[in-house]
Amino acid sequence: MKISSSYLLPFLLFGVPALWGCSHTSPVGRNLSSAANVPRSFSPDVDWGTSACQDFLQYSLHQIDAPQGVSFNTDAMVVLKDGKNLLEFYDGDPAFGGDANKGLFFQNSVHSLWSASKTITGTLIARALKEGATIPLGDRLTLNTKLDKIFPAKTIFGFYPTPILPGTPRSELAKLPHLGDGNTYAGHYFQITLENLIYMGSGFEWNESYEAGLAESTFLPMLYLRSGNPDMFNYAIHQPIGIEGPGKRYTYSGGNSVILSTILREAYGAQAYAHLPWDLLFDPLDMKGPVFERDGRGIFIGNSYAYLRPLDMASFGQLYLQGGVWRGKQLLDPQWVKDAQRLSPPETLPDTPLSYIVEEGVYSARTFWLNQKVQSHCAEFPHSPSDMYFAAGHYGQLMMVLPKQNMVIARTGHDSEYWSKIDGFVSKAVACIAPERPSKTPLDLEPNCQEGK
Amino acid sequence: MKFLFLLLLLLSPMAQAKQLNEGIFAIRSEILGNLLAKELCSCLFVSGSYERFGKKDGLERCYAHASLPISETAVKALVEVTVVGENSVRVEAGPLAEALALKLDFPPAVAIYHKDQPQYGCSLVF
Repeated sequence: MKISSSYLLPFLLFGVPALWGCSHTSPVGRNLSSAANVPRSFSPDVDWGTSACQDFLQYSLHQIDAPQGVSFNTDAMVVLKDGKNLLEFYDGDPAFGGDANKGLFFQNSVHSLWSASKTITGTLIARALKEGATIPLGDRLTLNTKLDKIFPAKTIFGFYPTPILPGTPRSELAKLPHLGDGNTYAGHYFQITLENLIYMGSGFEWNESYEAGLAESTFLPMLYLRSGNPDMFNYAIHQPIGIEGPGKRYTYSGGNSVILSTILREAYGAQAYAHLPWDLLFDPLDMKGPVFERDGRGIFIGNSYAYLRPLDMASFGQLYLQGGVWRGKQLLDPQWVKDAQRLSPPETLPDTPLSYIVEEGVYSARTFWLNQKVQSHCAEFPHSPSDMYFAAGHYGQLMMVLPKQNMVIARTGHDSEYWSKIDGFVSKAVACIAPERPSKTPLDLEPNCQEGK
Repeated sequence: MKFLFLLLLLLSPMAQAKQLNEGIFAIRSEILGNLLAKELCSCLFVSGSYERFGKKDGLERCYAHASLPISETAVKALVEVTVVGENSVRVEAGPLAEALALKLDFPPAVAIYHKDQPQYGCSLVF
């Protein structure tokens, strides 16, 4: 009997790596055991020799030889406090604490933001709203603008779905005749707003899996297959709408971000759109060399493929820390910045199951992650400031805003398990850099939440 | 021969069974080839690894920093990555896979870097 690839692949994928893996070297951290070894790019305003700072540096900086899951593999990091740059690290540059033989990133290297790009796209929408952008028929783009006004249902579905009125009981919805191609609840389409897309409550079904559940992922085909990549908007907007419709469930979705990105093109036209991220955001913040990759139709891949220098990631966080003001100019509506720190509306609904929030994460109304207590779900990062909010991308791309500490942390890396290390990373950074403004005071701690239950 | 592979399978940790399915799916669905082509293109040309370290070292450093859905070792065993010219990455079934007569049925994946419009980075070519 012929040996099928079903037998060989397991060996190749796991047997061979397991054998070769035996030669893996032990973790080699750089020697940061004394203040004298602190790179020049670390501000003398901080006493890096304290035990808290040594702990932070050992924990957070790059250890390229360490196996995945063991260390916090930082490619680059910038920390700002009170608007001042206190620390710059680049894994390829010895002048910035890196290793020339192994590292890859330098001060002017841009790094993929992965899903932190969703926050860039959200902020581009914020800038468009602030600038008074209009949709094709001349109406001003607002948070309440209906998707149907921009992309009429008939052109999307090829037929005119029977509208489903808001508040229609689920029992009535369940009686709707089954339509193929996920169109059974297409009637919800008329109620989807720009704001629903921003806070990930559009109602479109989505599976953002990357490493686990590949076969179920809707995200990967959009990025990498012929069925999605050439026209990502077409792929995203043809995902089935769930029975609950918009505003009822938060579902983390790169599809929403691609639709938002396409709305910007409709609002500004193809010619202006080609340099819109630069005009609205990158240039006003004096970013150097940002890259925004596009799909086959020229739509910016707003869910994954913005690239920034860590210094510019920090500027992005600082923009939010300053209430949307940059060099005296109000770039973002102050209300947008406030809303970035409040829960996504579906997560506040009384009938949203706690298990759902625990599973999906605590997301804000404006494309950030939060560290707030929700219902009886304690803050996810119990030793970190409860008011922090941050953009996060695959493998640990982080743009973090810490209002109480007046700090911003920009960090890039390659960690498959970075999420579980955020609490240690942030709490140690605060203990080192802002010890006078600790993450938690006794008043911040709620009963039963001290251990992050 | 078949017995040897089955034995190795049996000795594999059960926890890896799910990853196994993921790996097979990634390869057969063409996701792996396209993902590699696109991400290595962006690492080499957008993040500057090629310009700074050259083709070979640049590629190795990109592998070390890449976010791959299956192990780097497995990837290297199964596919061959070629940097074409100064703006393109091509991924196809590797010689080991071919020697073992694996049916990896994926067409070569190609990503190109837009040298004349570097602000747009890399994109896949279908």
